[in-house]
Amino acid sequence: MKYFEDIEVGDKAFYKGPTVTKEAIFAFAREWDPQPHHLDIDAANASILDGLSASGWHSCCLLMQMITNNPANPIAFLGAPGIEESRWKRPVMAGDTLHASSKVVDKRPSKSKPFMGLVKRHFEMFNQKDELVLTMEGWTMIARWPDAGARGE
Amino acid sequence: MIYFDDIPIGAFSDLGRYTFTEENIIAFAKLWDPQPFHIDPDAAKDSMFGGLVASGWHVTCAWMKLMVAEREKAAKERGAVYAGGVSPGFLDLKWRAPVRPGDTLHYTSITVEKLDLQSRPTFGILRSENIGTNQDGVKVFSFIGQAFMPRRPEGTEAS
Repeated sequence: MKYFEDIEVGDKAFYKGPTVTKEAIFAFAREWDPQPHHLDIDAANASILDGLSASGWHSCCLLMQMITNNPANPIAFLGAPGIEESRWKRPVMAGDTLHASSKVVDKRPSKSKPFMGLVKRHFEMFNQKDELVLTMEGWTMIARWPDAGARGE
Repeated sequence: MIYFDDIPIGAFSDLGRYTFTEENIIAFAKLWDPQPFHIDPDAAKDSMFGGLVASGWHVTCAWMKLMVAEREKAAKERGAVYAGGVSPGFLDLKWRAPVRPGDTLHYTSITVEKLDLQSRPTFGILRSENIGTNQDGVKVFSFIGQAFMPRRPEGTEAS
């Protein structure tokens, strides 16, 4: 398990993602974003996105899924206070296969909660053509070494 | 049809309410955000939250669900059909306080900024401030949303 102290600015990570099927796009959209251009092929083809695309929120959830399903590199996450910015550069289209990367851009200990620190990461998600589809940047709360107090840190 | 030009800064929408339950919190998180404090009530007790909390993405997606429902209602009841709906992303999203089973959030949206698009003069970007407030009046969620909207075609008038 990686803790706050184990993470350095500049650290990179890579994430494998799924192929996003038409059915997956419909299923997400029916529940959370039932706009015609995410639910109906004809409406999708007539939209300015020119084909069936995933909800932007679906794209965000896919990135979250890729980050949390990354057992090779477990980090002691304690949650996140938010996202500073997410840019939806390109739609995720039916049939796209995704991958993503992250880079640590800043870190600082929490002033109010000595058991944790905050790490700021910049994420980029790509399709199978390596086109950038989405970026996200924000702080995540990460536990400090369990014995950090004992070490006087 | 409602275009970019037809929406003033300050336009307000009451999006209604969404109730979080242990069942829907776990179901959402198992799919999208399977961290122990979102999917396992026992493990969540030992977390810094002291109990199960909703994924921030669940709190966010519930906003979208209500926003689409509000737009459909406006179309049905008032004939107010919004052009557009595609977004370039969002800003300044804050999960300000935990959302727990039994919490009911009241969501609102207000137009705060209108941006011209040099690259696409027939479109503008609307920015909205979106807020989720729980049953105790605590603002637990907020973000700045953005939507591309076409401008009113020349020679047409607002209905």
